[in-house]
Amino acid sequence: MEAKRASLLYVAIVASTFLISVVLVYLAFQSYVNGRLEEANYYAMWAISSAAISILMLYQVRRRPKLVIKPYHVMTAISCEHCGFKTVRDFQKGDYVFQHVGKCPKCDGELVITSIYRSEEEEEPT
Amino acid sequence: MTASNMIHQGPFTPSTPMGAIIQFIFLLLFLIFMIFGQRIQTYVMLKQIEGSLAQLKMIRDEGRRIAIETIKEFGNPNVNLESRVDQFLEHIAIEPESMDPAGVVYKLEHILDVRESRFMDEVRIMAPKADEVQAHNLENLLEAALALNIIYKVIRHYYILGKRTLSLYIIMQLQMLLPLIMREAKAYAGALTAFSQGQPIGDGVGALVAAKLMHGHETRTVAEDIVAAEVELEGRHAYVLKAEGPGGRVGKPGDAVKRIIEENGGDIAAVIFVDAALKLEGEDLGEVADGIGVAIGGPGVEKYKVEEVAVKHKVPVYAVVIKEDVKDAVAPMHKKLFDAVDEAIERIKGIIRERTKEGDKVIIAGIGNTVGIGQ
Repeated sequence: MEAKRASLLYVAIVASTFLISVVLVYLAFQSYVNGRLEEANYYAMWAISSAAISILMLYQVRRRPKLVIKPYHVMTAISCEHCGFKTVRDFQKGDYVFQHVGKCPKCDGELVITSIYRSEEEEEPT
Repeated sequence: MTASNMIHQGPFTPSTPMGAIIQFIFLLLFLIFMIFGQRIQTYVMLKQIEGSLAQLKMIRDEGRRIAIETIKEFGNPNVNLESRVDQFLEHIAIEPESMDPAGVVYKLEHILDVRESRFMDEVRIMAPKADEVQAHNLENLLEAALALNIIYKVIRHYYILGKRTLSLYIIMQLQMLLPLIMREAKAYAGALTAFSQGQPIGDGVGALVAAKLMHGHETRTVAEDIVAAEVELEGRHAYVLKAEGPGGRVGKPGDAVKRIIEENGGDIAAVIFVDAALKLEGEDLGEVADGIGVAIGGPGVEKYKVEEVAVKHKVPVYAVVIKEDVKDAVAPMHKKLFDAVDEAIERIKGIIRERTKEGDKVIIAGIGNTVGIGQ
């Protein structure tokens, strides 16, 4: 299902409604300057109505932002089982919790992945 | 100046030609909205559904693309991967007949077993180079893509049906449900990358609790895809079990609990389940709660087995749940969920201290998909 583009007729209606609202604003201004307040109010009312209609119609056909599935930023926390040395790096494919990933640079103990998580301030991926 | 004078002085009063036209337009609009109001509302709703449907199609296509790309890494060059994945995405499973409900649980289990083995066979044909862990992750990935395809097709079905019949009630129901359906679809979209990379997901938090308790202890297989370790905890002998990681599996915890209870002749003081639970809006992510009952989600087969054996041997069943949203359940595990694991362990210890005596035997079952979690 492809999102359909707005038809030419629809665009013409939106444009002309908006144009009418601009003309009405001008007429309202002219009437106000000439001291015809009631007439100015009347024009202004119509100007607002037609502007609202055109904006609403435009809103209906607005293009939705393209959906992108961004992967989450996932971190891997590694700790030494012996001395408690901790380090955090980006997740690498193949990492899993409680995986032994080598020797501790401080005490030569076993380094183990203790957690794999996405960061707290992460937004939704879509 | 009176109000009536004011109205009749404007350029659009009925006395002027423009005024008459405007009055006519007003009347016409009034009549149009009175007669066709419902239809206009229907079209507006259809337009909104169309937009969401386009998004769902994009998510579905992305799911298919990620699945194909990931399988290609382990792919069989003799298999037409795209058509095979497309065929997989159309897979159906028919529920057993429940007119005579006796034995329906085991019939459903059989259907699920056949489905699972068929999916694994399919993965092995498509990705023969994948090892056991990767094969399970690929199977989970394909299931997420399958779920996205089903969501898209069902929504498209009701959209077309609503458009054809112009039934306000079909369209209205669809439009009202769409925000929830979109949330679910976006959650599955988040799951795609998690499964393709083998990252732990929110649903696995129960399994993670068990993994933390059994880490460093010897494990044995006690049921299909379930491992158990015997751990001394608060002076009690605890059988801790979870699905075998780090591949994406949930296993059969019901069978495992049943086996351990029966191995011990029913002499089990408590069974404690730890699982992720859907949080209500307003609750915090990672909130821990405890109570009683079998905390196993899914179609209910495993839950039924535990309830059956617990009643038979009069074993009390407790639950510790970690609250999370639907999007957190299938997305890579949030840090707050990792942080909640220690609190869940404290709750388990509390239950053990308060509800059992020293020297008793207890079962602690960590439920959930164990993708990215070893033991």
